Amino acid sequence: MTDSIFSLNRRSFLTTAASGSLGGMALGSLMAKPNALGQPNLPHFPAKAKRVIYLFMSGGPSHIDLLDYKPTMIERHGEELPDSVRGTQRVTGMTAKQSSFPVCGSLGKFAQHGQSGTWMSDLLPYTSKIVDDIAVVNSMHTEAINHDPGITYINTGSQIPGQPSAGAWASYGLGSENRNMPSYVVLLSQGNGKNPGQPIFSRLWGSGFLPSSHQGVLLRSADDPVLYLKDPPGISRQNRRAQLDDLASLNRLKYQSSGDPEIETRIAQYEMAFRMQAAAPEIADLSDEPESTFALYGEEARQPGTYAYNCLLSRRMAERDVRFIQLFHRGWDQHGSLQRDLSAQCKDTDQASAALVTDLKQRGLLKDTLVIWGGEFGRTAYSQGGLGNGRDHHGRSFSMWMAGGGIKGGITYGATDDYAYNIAKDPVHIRDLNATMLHCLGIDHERFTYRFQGLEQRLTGVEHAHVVKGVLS
Amino acid sequence: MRIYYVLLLLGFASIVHAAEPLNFNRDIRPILSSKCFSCHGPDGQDRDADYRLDTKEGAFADLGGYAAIVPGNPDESELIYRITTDDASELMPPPKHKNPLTEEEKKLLNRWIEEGAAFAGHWAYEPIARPELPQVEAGSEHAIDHFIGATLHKEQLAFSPEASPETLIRRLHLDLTGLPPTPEEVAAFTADPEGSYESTIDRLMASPHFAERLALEWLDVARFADTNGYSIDDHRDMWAWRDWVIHAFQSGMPYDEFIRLQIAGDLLPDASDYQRMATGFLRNSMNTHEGGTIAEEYRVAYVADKIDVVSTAFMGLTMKCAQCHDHKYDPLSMRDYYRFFAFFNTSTEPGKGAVNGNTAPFMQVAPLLQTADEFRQVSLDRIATLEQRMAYPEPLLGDAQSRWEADVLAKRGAQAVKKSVAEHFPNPSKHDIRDLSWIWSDVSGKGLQAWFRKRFDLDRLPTRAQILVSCDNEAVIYLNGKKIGENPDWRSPTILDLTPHLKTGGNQLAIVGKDWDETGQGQGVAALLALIAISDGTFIASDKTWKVAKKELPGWQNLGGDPKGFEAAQVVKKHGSAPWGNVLSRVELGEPAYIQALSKARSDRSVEEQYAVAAAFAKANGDMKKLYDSLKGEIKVQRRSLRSGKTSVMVMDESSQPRDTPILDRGAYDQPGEIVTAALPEVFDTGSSDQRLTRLDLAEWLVDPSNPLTARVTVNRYWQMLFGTGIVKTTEDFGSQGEWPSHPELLDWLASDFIASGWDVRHLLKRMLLSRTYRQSSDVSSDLLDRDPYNRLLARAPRYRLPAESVRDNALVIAGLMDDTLGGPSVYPPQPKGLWKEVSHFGHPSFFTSQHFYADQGAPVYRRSMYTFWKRTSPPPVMTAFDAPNRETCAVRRSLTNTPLQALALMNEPQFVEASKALAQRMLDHSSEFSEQLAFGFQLATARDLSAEEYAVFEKAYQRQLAYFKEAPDRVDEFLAGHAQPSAELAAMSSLTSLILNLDETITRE
Repeated sequence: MTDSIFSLNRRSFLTTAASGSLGGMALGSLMAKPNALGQPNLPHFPAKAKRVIYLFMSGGPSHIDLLDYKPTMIERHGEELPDSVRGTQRVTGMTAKQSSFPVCGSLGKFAQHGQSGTWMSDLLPYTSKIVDDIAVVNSMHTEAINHDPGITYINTGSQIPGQPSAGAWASYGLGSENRNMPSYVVLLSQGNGKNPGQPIFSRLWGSGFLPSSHQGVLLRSADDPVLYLKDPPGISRQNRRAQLDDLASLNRLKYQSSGDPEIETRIAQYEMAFRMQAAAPEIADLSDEPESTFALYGEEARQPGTYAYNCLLSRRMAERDVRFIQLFHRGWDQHGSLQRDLSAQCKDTDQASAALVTDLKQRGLLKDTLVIWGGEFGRTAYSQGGLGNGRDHHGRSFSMWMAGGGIKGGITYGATDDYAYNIAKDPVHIRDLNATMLHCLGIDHERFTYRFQGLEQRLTGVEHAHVVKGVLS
Repeated sequence: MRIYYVLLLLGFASIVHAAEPLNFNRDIRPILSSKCFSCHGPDGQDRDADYRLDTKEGAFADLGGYAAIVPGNPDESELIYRITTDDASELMPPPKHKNPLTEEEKKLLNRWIEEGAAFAGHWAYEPIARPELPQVEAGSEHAIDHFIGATLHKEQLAFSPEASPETLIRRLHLDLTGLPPTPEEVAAFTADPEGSYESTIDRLMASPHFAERLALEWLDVARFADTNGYSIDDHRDMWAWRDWVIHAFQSGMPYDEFIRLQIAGDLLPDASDYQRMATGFLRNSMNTHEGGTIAEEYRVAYVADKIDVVSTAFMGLTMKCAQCHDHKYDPLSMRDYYRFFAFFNTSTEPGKGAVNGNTAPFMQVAPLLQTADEFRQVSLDRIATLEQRMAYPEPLLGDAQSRWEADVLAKRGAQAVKKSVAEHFPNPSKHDIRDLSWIWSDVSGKGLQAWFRKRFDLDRLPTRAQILVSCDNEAVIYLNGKKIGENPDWRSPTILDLTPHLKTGGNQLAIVGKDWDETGQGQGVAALLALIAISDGTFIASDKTWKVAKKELPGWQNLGGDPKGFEAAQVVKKHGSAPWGNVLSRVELGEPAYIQALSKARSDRSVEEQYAVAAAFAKANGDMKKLYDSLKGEIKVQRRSLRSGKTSVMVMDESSQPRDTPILDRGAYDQPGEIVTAALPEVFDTGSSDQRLTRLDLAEWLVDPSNPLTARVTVNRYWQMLFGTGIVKTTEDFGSQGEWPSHPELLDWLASDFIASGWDVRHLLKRMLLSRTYRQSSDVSSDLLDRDPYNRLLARAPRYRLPAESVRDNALVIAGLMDDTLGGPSVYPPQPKGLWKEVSHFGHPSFFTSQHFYADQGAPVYRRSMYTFWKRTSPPPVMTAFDAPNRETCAVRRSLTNTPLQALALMNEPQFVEASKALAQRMLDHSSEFSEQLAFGFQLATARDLSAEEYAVFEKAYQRQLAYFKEAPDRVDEFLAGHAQPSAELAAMSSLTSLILNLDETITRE
C-alpha cells in the first residue's frame, strides 16, 4: 500500500490488532471513516489515472464560439434557424417567447491546429497549441436547461440536490494518497466576463449521503488557505507541537480507561491536522516557482484567487497526489454582451488551462492525471436579443475536452448537426462523461455503489450510462 | 488485508446461528431483495419472466409443471438450480448485472427451502404487536432491559455495570438538553444518584433546553433553513415555524397531534394561526426563482420533496423511488406514488419562488417565544449591526474609505465653505440626478393640467428633507394629503421643507401642474421638475417612475394605491435641456450633507450622517457600492418586520380550483398520463371511499393506532437519538432494503407503548432513560469490542462524539459565554470572511438578500448553534465540519466522522479560541490555587475530577506554557490582543483550557 493519508492509523491498527487489543471495531471505525483507505475492492481494474483535475467552467461556455466548428452557421448568419433544427424541444423561459431565432455564427474564427488538425476558435489561442494532447468531445448533452439543475446534474449525477459530488465519490472510493492533504480539494474563481457569475453551491462539492468527510475542502486565497488552518497569533509551531503531545497523552489516558478505539483515531486526526498546517501553505507558497512558470501560466498566476493561480495550485497538488482537484470558474453565462464577455472569460482561462496540461506533461504527470474542461451545458445557435447580442442555455449539445490519464489526445469525438444544435453522431450524456471519468480511475461505475434509501446508489444514477471508449487511449 | 475485510463484513451481517431455524424476514428477504427483486419484485412495469418473489403467491406459483420454490425440497426447486448452475445463460442473477450471490447466501437460500421455505410479509407492514416481556434474570426491572437482556443472555453476554454518577449526570444533560451540567448540578446528583435519577430527568424535561434539543433533532428531518436553497439562495423567513416546533415540544404536545398539525393543521375546522403555521413543515422545501425556470417543473419538484419528507420522516419508506417507475423493492407502484402526490398537489404554491423572502401562501404571525418588545429589540440590534458595517466597512474593504475621506476633504479645503447645508438645498452629485427629468402626462408636454404622484418609503424619520419644484407654468404641492406650498413660476424654483409632514413607512407626494395656455392649443410646452433631498444623502428625482393622471381623481393626494387613471409619467426632456436649462443653478446650493459629516470624527457622526457618507462613498467606490446596496437592502428587510411587529411564515393551503394529478411518465413534469385522485398506497389501503381524500385524511391515517409504520419509525428515531444507532439502523428505510431490526420485539413493544401513552414523547424517552440498558457504562473491553464492534447488542452504553451543534454549545457553556435566549430570528455568529460572497450573487445590480455575510456583534454571537442562520448553499462551516447535513433535503441520520478539519476547528476557530480564554479567566477567578483552578475547569468540561496522571500532564503543560509566554512578552500581547488585562498566566491558562476543550472526552457523550 502506498503512503496513505491514514497510514498512521493503519499502522497503529495493524499493531494493535496483531496484539489482540483491538478488534473489528477499530477496523470498522476506520472504514466508516471518510478519507480512509478507500474501498477494499477498488480499483476494479488497473487505473490509467490516479487523480483528476476538473476545470469546471460554470455558467455554460459557448461550444459554438469555442470548440464546435460550424461553417454553415457563418454562411447563414442572421437567417432564421430552420424549424426542422430547432424542433419542439423546450427552451428556457428566457427565450421561449422570442419571435425570431436568428442563427448567430461563431464569434471566434476557427482554424485547424496541431498534427491532428483539430478545429479550434481563435478565442482559445493557447488551447489551440495543445490540441494534440486533448480529446475534444462535441457531442455532450444534458436534459437540464437552467444553471442550478444543470450544474447540480453534471457534478452530482442528479438535477435534484441530495447526491454526492463526483469528487466525493472519488474520495470515498479511492481515498487519498497524500497523508497531509484532504483527498478532494476545491478552488473557486470569479471570471471577468460576467461578474458576479451565476451562484454556485456547496452541494456541488458536497458529500450527499456519503460520510461527510468526503466533501470537497475549499482551498482559499484568503489568510487561511484551509479554514482554521492557522494557529492563533502568538502560538509557534513548536509550541503547538508540544500542546498536541499533551493532548495525545491526555486522550491516551482516556483510551486506557474507556477502550474506545475512536480515541486513537482522533489522535491520528490531530496529527494529520498538524501536518496539513504545514502542507497547505506550502502548496500556496509560490516562492519556489521559477520565472518560467509565470511565463507559462501568465502573470495572473501570481495573484491569489485568479483562475491562473488556481491552475498553478492544481499542478502543485497533483505533484503531491491529491486525488480530486476541482476548479470552479464562474461567469460563462453569456446571455448578452457575448463578444466582450466571452473574450474576457477566455482571457481568464485559456492560457492557464493550456499551461496546466503542458506543465503536467513536462513533469510526467499528465499520463496519470485526468484533466477535464467544461461546463454544465452549451449555448444556443440562435441569438438571444438582437443578432450577436448573446446566447441562451443549450443542453442538447455542447463541448468539453479531456486530456491525460486514459485519454487519447489529438481527437475530436462526436459531432453535431450543421447548427451545433442537435447531436449527429456519438452522443455523450453527462452520465457517460462521469462513467468515463470513473473508468479512467479504474472504477466500473456500475459496481461502484453505496446503499442509501434502499438503493445501491451510484454516481451515474439509474439510467443507462456507458464508458466512452472512443476517447480512451 | 483480506482477513480484516472479512471481519468487517461480519460486523454488518446479522449473525445466523446454526441451531436456530431461519427467520424469513431477517435472513432471507434481504437476500431476495438486494439480489432478485429488481427484476422479480414489486415493479410490475419491468418484471422479468413474469415471475415475482416478493409475494407468497408469486414465489410459490406453479410455473407450468415446476416451481421456483418447492418447500422442503431444494433439489426440485428451480430457484436453487438457477442460482447454482454453471450455465451462464441460465444463471441468476444474470452475470451482466454484476450483483452475484455469495456462497453464503446460496447456502442460506438452500437451507431455507430445506427448512420448509417459510414466507412472511415484510415485517414493517405487519401490525404492531405488543410482545410479552421475555423472562430474564433479576436486576432488569424495566421492560427495555427484558428485551436487551434476553438477547445478551442468548449471546452469553451481560450488561456492563452502571456508569459513574458523574458520567450519568453529564449523559442525561447532553442527551436531553444538548448542554453540559453545571458543577452544582453534578454535585447535587452525585450526592444521591439513585434517589435523584428520575427527578433529574423530570427537571431536565421541564427545561426549555429539552424542547430545543428535541426541536434540533426535528430540524434536520424537516430540512429547516433560512434560505430558499436553489440558485440565488436568498433568504426566507421560517424561524417562526422553528419556534413553533420548540413551543410544541415545550408544551408537551402529543406526537400524533405534532404530526397532524404539521401535515394538515390548515385543514382542521376553524384552524387557528397556531395550527396553520405548523404546516410550514411542508413548506421547508427548497424553491427557485432562477431566470428561465419552467415553473411547472419546479412546482412538481416541490411536491415531490414533500412526499420525500413525509414518507421518510413518518413512514420510513423510500417513496421517491416510485416517482419514475414502480418501486423495485417495496410494494409501491407509480400509481401509488401519484395518488400520494395528489394529497399535496392542491396548494396554491407556485413553481417560481418569490425574490428575497417568502413565497405564497404565507401568513403574518407574531413571534411565539418572544414578546413584542424583545422582537423589536432584536430587529433594532440587527439593524444597528448592519449600519455599523456600513459606517465601518474596513473589515471588508481595508482602508479605502479613509483614503477617500482624506481626498474629499483635501479638495474641499481648496474652496471656501460658503453655505451651510441647513439653509440651502443640498448639492446633489451627478449620479443623484442622473434620471432627473421634466415630466408630464404626455411626452410632448401638451395638456393643460397634470396630477402627479410619487410614493416614497422612509425607514426612519430624517432630521431634514426638502423638495425643489419647478413647473412650467405653475404647481401646487401636497404631502400626505396636505398642501404644503406652491411654485408660481418655473424660473424661480420653490424649495419647501418636507420635514414636519413626514412619517416612517410610506409617504405620498402629490403635485398638480398647470399650463397657462388656456386653450391648450398653443406652442408652449408644460413640464414639471422636482427633486427631494433627504439628509441621509438620498435624493428622489422626478422621472418616469412617477405616476400621472390627466384629470383630478378623488383622493389622488392621499396615501394608498394609485387611483385608476394614473399611469407612468412621460419624460419631456432631461434636466439641463432647453428651453429650461440648468434649474439647479438658479438656487443656492449648500454643500452635500456628507461633506459636513466628513469633518467630524467617525465616531461622532450621527447614524444619518453615516448613511450620507456611505451613500457618497458608494458613488466613488465600486466595492463600497456593492456593499452599500447589499446593506441597505438587508436593512430594509429588517425594517419591514420592525414596523409590523410580525414575521411571516410559509404555510399550506388548498386552492379553490382543484388541480388534476396525472401520473407523470418517468416522473417528467411535461409527460402527463392517467389522472388519479388522492389515496393511500394500495398495500395500506383499508377500503375504498367515495369521498375525496385530503391531507387531513392522510394525517389521520398516519397517526391511526393501526398504522404499522409511524410509531415504529418515531420510536426508532428517538432510540437513535439516545443510543446513537436505531434499533433499525437504516432510520430512513423500513422497507425491504432496510436493515433488519436488532431487537424487533423491543421495537414493537416501544411502539405500542408509545401509542398507548397517547404518543407522549416524554414518556417514551423516560422508558429508555430509566432502563439499565441506558444507564450502563460505555467503557468497553477488547473482548466485548471483538464480539460486538458496532454495539448492536448493547452490552454497554454507546459512546459517541456530540452532534455539531452540541460541540459548539458545550464549549460556550463551559466557558461561561452562552446566551441561552430562546427562539427568535436566526443569528449570525462570525465566520471566515468571504464564504458567502465567493459562491453567491453578491454585487449583482439587483439586490438579493443573504448574498453577503454580516456577522452579529454582542450577545447573539453566543446563542445556541441551532439558531445560527442557515444558508443552504454555504452552511455554517463548523457545523458541516462536524457532520451537520446541508438541510437541502430530509435527513434522519447524520454521519459520524472523525477528521483533521474538526481538529483544526476546535484548535483554531476564533470562537473556540475565545472560549478557551474565557474559560481560563473563569478558572483564574474561581481560585488562586492552580490545582483548584484546574480541577474547576476540568470539572466544567467533563463533570468529573481529574486523575493524578491527568493532573501531572496538565501541570507540566502549564509550566511549559507559562515559560513560553514569559520568555517573550510579545507572544502574550499577540495571543491576548484586545484583552483588558493580558498576562502570561492568563495566556498559559488559555493554552490549558484549549487542551480541555479539545479533549476527546469533552466532545464525547460517554
